[in-house]
Amino acid sequence: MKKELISDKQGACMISMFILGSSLFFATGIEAKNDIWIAMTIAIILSSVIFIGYSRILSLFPEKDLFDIVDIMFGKYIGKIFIFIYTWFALHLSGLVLRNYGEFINTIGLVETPRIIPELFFIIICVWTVKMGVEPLGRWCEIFIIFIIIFILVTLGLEVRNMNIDTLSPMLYNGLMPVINGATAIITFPLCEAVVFMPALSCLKDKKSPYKIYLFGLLIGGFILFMVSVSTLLSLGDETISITYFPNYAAARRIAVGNFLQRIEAILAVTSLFTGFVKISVCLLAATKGITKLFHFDDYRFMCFPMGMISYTLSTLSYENIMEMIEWGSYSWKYYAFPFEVIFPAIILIRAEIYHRKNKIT
Amino acid sequence: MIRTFLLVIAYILIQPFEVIKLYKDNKIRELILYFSVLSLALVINIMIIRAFKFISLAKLINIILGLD
Repeated sequence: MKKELISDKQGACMISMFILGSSLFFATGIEAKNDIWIAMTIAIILSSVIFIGYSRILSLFPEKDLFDIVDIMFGKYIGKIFIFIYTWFALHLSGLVLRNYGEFINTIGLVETPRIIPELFFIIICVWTVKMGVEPLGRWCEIFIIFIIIFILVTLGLEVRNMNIDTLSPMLYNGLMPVINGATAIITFPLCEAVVFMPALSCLKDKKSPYKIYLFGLLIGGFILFMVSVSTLLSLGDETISITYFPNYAAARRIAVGNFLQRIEAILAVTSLFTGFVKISVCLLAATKGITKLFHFDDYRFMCFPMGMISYTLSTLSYENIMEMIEWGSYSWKYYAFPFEVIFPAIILIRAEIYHRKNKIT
Repeated sequence: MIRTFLLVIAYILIQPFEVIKLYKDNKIRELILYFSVLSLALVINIMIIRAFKFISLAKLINIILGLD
């Protein structure tokens, strides 16, 4: 199989777009109410520590991905369990994000069209991309991140008229617990979902690359997410955010400059489709690599389509309706995702350090 | 109806190319895995189309995690 290589810049762009993903139209960390900016700052700082952990694992084993690493460290059986766990997580996440987009398109645009039709087209494009490999995806991200940043900045700039700075006060009125809850929610969705990059990032140029990619990606993605969340809070207020399905989109809908510049929300919708495409593709890539690694195959491309179809099926099976989707995303996701994003990587990191030191001595 | 139609189109469009390629390269293990996963997806999709009631994954995970 041909060795794939992506540059640090491409990797960082991919992580930024991955982080933005579906969080461009969902609100995350709404538990913190008007202190969302504090929760967001705490979440970004804590995530950077977690990302350093991810990078450390990858840099201890250059040119190896997470699946190779657990296979080397934990041996045949426990290694396989870890591979299975992360394959499931990546596949499930791709199904959930696909469902988010299905519901989003179904709610805001194609109301009469069955949800599964846009989902089907979406997953076919993602399958195609994964089949092409990580290089074209990296190049695509490198080009499109510029447009995405411009689109978001323009939207935010136009939103300024609707913002009310008084929404931010009083600070910490409800105490510290809602802020901590909000920060935890932001860490698990969307920041540390970037754990699925670990199986995908075996194609880096040098040993230091994982640090650069993860931290620059977090910096760009986290900053944009911070801006979007705070501007939505300032535009809508925390009460409206908590009762709206897609608050960021709802905030963009209120933009009206005179009678000639309206319906700007379409820009946000298109931008979120771009970022969602990257998120689903990366999840699918990780899941496909995982299943082929489980069965000892070198090439992963032949499994893209079946795994895409499983992801599509999971998107249908995930929730009964949009209300369940929002509720589960807000309350249950953090408990479900925390082990995959923090606990298992911590175990792998500890084992990797021990393994590395032992091998260094001998 | 439209759902079934689209599914069938999607399966037919992409599947033969993969299968022919794998068969030509004599990759039987790959073919078995390919068809197993694809069949699983197809069977579940047909069950959903035939209105078979599945418990949602969200509910199932909540029950497993004790959050329900």
